[in-house]
Amino acid sequence: METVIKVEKLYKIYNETGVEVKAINGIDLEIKEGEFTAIVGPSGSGKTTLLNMIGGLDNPTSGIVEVGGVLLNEMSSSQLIDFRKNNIGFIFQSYNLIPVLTAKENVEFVMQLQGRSKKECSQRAIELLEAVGLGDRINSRPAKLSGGQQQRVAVARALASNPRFILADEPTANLDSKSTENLLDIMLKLNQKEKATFVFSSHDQRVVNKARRVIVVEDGKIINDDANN
Amino acid sequence: MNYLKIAWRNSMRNKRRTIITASSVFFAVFLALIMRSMQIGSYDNMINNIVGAFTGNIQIHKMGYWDDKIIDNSFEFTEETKQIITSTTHITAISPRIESFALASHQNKSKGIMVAGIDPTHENNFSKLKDKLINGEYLNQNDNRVLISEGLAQYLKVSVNDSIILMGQGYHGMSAAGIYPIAGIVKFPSPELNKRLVYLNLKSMQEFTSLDNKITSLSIRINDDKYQHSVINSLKNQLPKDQHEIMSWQQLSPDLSQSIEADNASGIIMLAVLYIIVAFGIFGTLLMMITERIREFGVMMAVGMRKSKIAFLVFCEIMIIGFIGLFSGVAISAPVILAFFYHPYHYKGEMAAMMEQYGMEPILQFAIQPDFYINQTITVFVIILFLVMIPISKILRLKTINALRS
Repeated sequence: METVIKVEKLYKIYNETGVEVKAINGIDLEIKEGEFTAIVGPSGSGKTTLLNMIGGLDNPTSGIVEVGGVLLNEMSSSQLIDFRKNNIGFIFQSYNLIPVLTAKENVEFVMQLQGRSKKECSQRAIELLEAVGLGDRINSRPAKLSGGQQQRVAVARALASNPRFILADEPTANLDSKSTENLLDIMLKLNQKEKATFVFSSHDQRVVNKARRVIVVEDGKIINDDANN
Repeated sequence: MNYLKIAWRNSMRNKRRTIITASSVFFAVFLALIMRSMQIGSYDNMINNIVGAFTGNIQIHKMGYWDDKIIDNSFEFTEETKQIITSTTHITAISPRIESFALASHQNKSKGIMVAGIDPTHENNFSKLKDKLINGEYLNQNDNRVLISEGLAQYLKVSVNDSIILMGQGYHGMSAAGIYPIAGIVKFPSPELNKRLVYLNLKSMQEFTSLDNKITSLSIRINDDKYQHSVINSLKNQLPKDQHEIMSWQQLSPDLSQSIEADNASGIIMLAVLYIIVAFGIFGTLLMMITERIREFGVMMAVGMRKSKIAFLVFCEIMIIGFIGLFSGVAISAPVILAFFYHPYHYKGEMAAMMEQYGMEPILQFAIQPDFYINQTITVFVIILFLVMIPISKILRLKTINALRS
């Protein structure tokens, strides 16, 4: 399998209050295409920061982040936005759906940004919402959906643009166990079907159990990686 | 992507806030239009009362008459002069007059008055004098009777068919005197004219003052005051040089012109204050609207929406709210302005007396002018555009990660 995410000597140091905090403290990491990887660790360990930098949402203090053969460090803010639009799907802890759009419109939104035709957007949105078990709620706005349903819409949205990478930051943190189980099954199924590389951060043991590769992060360093075992 | 649809839904997301913001715009437009219409209406009314009823937009005199208003400074109104003037573009009516001062008396009452010799037909075309008749009948071409203003008639205690004696000065210092029956009583909106004006037939006035075929002034009405300067220039070029003085109504009534200018300036300052207050109100709500959605913008950027597109979306939202306020302000002010335009409010009691004392007609007259509708709408629109720049610049400076963390 080809390496699609490569992180080298990555550092993220915050110095906002005059006290130096190393959120990421020299991480080296490679993730291969199609992997279903969990980054786990306690709160404040640096897993979200690492995920943000892989997703081009945050800039490292030093080091290299290469995603899909592209060096994110060298990209401008606008280039990063375009890169994310075509290559990365995000799933956030608090769903972050656009409240004024229906489930279907939320899924279509990303595809419309890519400039796809109305018909294509609509077809794929329905297909994805059916795949996540929300075929009957396509016209519901987020406020009318439960947490689990909203997160499933978020998964469908993340997959809508046919991204090569899906990055999920604690996707199950606000879900009950049944919804978590359901969501993980959907994500695994889509991982196999859509061939996208899934990387998600979590400290939920149920998520860890489903992951094919688990990377443990603590104090901004990788302390354990299944790939090395 | 249908930005307008998303913008509309976002605008309706917090209905109360949208109503408050749109109301700020509405009140700015509504108050500005009402205030401006009222001001311009009152100026138009004042100008019409003086310009329309008497002075005209332009007057022609013999050179030097305005500085030394004596009957000797009169000029011959030839057919040739008449032809030049009436053929000039934008001139709608002329009224040749002899204007002088005299002492009017009846029984034991007398008063210094202004006496105007007029051509009844020309004068009626010029100032609709016939419409101001409240008693008696209008002068005919060869009439030897007079029209007297209502206030003066009350002062002298005269009515139609009574006679008044006029005593004044004629051409080259000759004494002028005559007894004239009253044909009718006219009422002027301007209290100043209403209490001291007597009209004679031009021929009777020429006899009274011994002016053969001469007049002291030629009043001119034009179809729009904005052509005043071009008409004056045209007349100056056509009439014999150095023989006539051609004056605008602003020169003829400098007090009126200056008071309008001063009032207009204070009105504009008031409007500016109103706009500033409203702008701050709108700014506050816009800022709140943007600040509480920073995270949402962060998500949009994360999934691939460019900041310029988010800024455009927010621009559409603010424009929707702005247009709701703008159009409702125009729509609701229009019937109010129309109502007061066609049915001006007549002040009563002390207020009316006070206004008359200041020489103003005691009415609240509104004006309808498309240009002030356009100007006020554009001004409010420009304010909204200016205010939009602040949230837009905030969006353009956003960093995805900071927005997501907010």
